[in-house]
Amino acid sequence: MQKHFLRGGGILLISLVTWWACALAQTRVQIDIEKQSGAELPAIAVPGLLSEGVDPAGQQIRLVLQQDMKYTGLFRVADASAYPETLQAVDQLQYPAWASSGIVAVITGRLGNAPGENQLSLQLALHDIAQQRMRINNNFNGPKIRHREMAHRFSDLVYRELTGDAGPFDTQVLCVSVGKSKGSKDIIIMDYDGHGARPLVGDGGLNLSPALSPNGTLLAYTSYRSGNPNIYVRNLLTGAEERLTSGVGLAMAGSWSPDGRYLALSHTIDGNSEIFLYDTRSKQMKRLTNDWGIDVSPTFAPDGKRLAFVSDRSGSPQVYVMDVQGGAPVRITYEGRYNTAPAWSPRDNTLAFVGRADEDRSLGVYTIRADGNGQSRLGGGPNPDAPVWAPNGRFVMYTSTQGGSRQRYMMRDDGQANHLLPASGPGCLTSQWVARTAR
Amino acid sequence: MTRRPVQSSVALVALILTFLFVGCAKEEPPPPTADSAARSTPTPGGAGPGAGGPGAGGPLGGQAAADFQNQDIYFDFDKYDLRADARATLDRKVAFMNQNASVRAQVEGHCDERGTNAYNLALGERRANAAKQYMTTAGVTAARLTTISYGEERPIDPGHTEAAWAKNRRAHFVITGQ
Repeated sequence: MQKHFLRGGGILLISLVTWWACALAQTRVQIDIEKQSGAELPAIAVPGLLSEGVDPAGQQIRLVLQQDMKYTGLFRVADASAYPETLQAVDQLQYPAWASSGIVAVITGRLGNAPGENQLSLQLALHDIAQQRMRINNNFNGPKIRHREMAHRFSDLVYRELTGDAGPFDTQVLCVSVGKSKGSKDIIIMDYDGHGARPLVGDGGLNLSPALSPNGTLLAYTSYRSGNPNIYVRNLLTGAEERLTSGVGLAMAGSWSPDGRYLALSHTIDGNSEIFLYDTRSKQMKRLTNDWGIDVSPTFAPDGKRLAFVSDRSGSPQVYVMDVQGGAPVRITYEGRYNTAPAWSPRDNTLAFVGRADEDRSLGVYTIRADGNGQSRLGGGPNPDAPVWAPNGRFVMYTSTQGGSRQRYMMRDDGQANHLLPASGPGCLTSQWVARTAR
Repeated sequence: MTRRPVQSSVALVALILTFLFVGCAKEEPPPPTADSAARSTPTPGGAGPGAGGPGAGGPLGGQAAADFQNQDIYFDFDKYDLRADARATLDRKVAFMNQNASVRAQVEGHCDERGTNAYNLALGERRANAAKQYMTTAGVTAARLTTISYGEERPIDPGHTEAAWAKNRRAHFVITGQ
């Protein structure tokens, strides 16, 4: 938290940020309580938007803002019954009245029509009740159909204002989703909250393990359409597609290097799965591993110089880290006999993965540092799969079969504020969490 | 590694038939019971339609071919080594392939829903390869057996119980040519 203070600007250390930091510090030692209820978090109010006439987009925007604020893990959203006044203007609040209601922040807004057909003008402001001033006051103009994006962008501004980090809300998730044909899987992309889903690959066949390049143009994925699971790379702008692998062995796309030049993948040759790097410039495939065991699920470090992957060369699946230039992989997980699905944080040397506790054999989402220290079980419910990092490295999304069907959850990188995300089609398996790729 | 796309490989003769499943697992965890009816694995996307496949009235339409395709072998959780019951089943499959020297088959490796998707695909491949390895060591020509992994994508029992998982950790055989 101290780091956030300094970055937030020396003079404005009081009030809201202080409140929030203290609350966080408290919740760190009250983990179980907070997991049961967010009541200890400070309250933020998102009253209805002021509007020129009734517009359903206004209500939608309010719901998006409330949802995003809840998922920040920094706030609970105050019930309307706690509001001490009815808003008259975006920039005028009776701060003392809100303060005595126990509310630390208020988002106010006004929705109006902008010139042009189906355009809207949206003003949104963040009020710091203790400081008795607006911390953010922004205008958004654009097509009405993009009102959710505008709300997400404001939520990101709030997150940045309070933490110094980019927000996780105007983002998208790449998923493998149950297709219409029996046994088929589609690859889809949608907003982080499940809205605006559109298919990227939906040919009625089995499509798996998608990985989108950093600039959002190249989609690598595995398809069974040739009769065997091979990797294809599709240019989403031109539709051009290239098959990278052939043969009967399993091939799975893993992760793109941060510069977008290399695709890390796994491919089984002669019955043995190994890690390869595909260079999109030279079109050459370079083999990185060479051992008898299963080697799968490569994930690039943000420095582009290392990657982590899963290998069962020790007799059980464990996470290893190796240099992309070669050299012996270093095993980093030693607790339990099942540690798979590593995802390297885009922010630092932290990895998320799915592990199984020795004591009760339950699977969970864990984090660990790339040097093997600092392992921590964040949670994850029954049968978690495929943890993915928000682009800001502050949140982890994963799926779990809690409640019977596979659903998505997101939580802070410390395991707090674990929330079920809105339903997003059948059986969505998260593969990647990316900045919004198209506006 | 071949990078250039290879033109369409082996044409698969697809086969979707429903048979009575005959349980054969004898070890822990709880094996499927003998009376559990099970459906053969759906044809993978990309494979052609199954018109006139073996078992559909041809010379291999008999009980032996049905058994070959419907007696799966089972694996322990997170394992791909062959249990004694699996080896006994594979011995019968070897005998069948020896008696029907023109038969070619695909071994499908499957997993239960637990664990992570990517690793389960790799695990399913190892299961299929373990079965193939056993049969080729016993004399079946390697070229007559192909393998494919479906990981946890094609559960035979959609349930979330130990009994369902035990049925899903399997290698399944499909006759692809004769």
